[in-house]
Amino acid sequence: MTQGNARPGLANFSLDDDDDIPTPTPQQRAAAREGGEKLGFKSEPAETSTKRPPAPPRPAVYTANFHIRTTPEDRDRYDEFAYRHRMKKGEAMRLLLDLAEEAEAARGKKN
Amino acid sequence: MPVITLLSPKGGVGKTTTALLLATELAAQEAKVILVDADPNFPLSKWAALGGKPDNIEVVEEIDEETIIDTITEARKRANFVIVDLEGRASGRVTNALLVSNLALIPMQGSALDSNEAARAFKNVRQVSKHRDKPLKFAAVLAKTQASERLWPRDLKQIIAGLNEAGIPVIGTALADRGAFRALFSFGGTLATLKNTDVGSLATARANAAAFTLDVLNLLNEKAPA
Repeated sequence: MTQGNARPGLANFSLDDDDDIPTPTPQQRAAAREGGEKLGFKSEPAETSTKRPPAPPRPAVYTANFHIRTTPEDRDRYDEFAYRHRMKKGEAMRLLLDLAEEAEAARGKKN
Repeated sequence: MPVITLLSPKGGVGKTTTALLLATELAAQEAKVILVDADPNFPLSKWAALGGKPDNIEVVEEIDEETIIDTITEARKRANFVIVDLEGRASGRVTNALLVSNLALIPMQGSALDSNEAARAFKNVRQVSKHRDKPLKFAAVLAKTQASERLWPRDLKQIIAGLNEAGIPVIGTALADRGAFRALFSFGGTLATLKNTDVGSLATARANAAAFTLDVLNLLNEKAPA
């Protein structure tokens, strides 16, 4: 088995003296893997990084400071609206202006 | 050169201890042995780091499912015996290691949990064997048993009867739960280098490991089933 024949010229009658195991072909590997997976011997997923991918660079936007005086009720409505839509206050203002201008244009078409 | 792989989807059944006992016994007979440590906890590397490792034992770490075949194939060119110690879980790495092994040993203890997981391992061994050019020899190893057979629990005896009924070979010598075997992982070295002052029943442990290794070699020498 593991020892070489002391007299290599003599015939070897052992039918299973060869320890060599051929390297499995890709087909054999795939078939064995498929069979193993059916029994729960599953391939492990490739190591995935737990680090977050770096955030894409944010384009710089110039913003202006804007103070508004309004009633406490309107302020609460505005804050609540921006919070409900998870928007920044500036984005909420742009949206409200867009909607107001759309409504204005629609009214203009009617008239 | 022969590759002996130890596997079981369950941890703590005695794979690493069996692998180490086999390696040290074979190395004591002048064989060059490579231990492939395929357990991500690298218990065999830790054993090697304790000191006292025989020079003719090499420990190679390998936990990659894709490269384990190449690692084993490369190791068998350099050693008389390659012993692969897999981790205690079902994985694709187990299947790939079996593709290039000569003998699969599945250690188990006398509990229903162990036998259920061992049964799964035997099924995988059999299915892998079908996809190879050569059939794969395999056997169950009774590990961590009571030293005296008379004290073996009924569960274990029933499991052995079940294995026999299913035509699954069982290594004749069981590896008992011995302090000397556990001590290898705290002292390092081999059973031959441990001292009687370190552990008790050392002579019995040495005889147990030697008899077990002889049984494994006999199985390895048997003609493979068609």
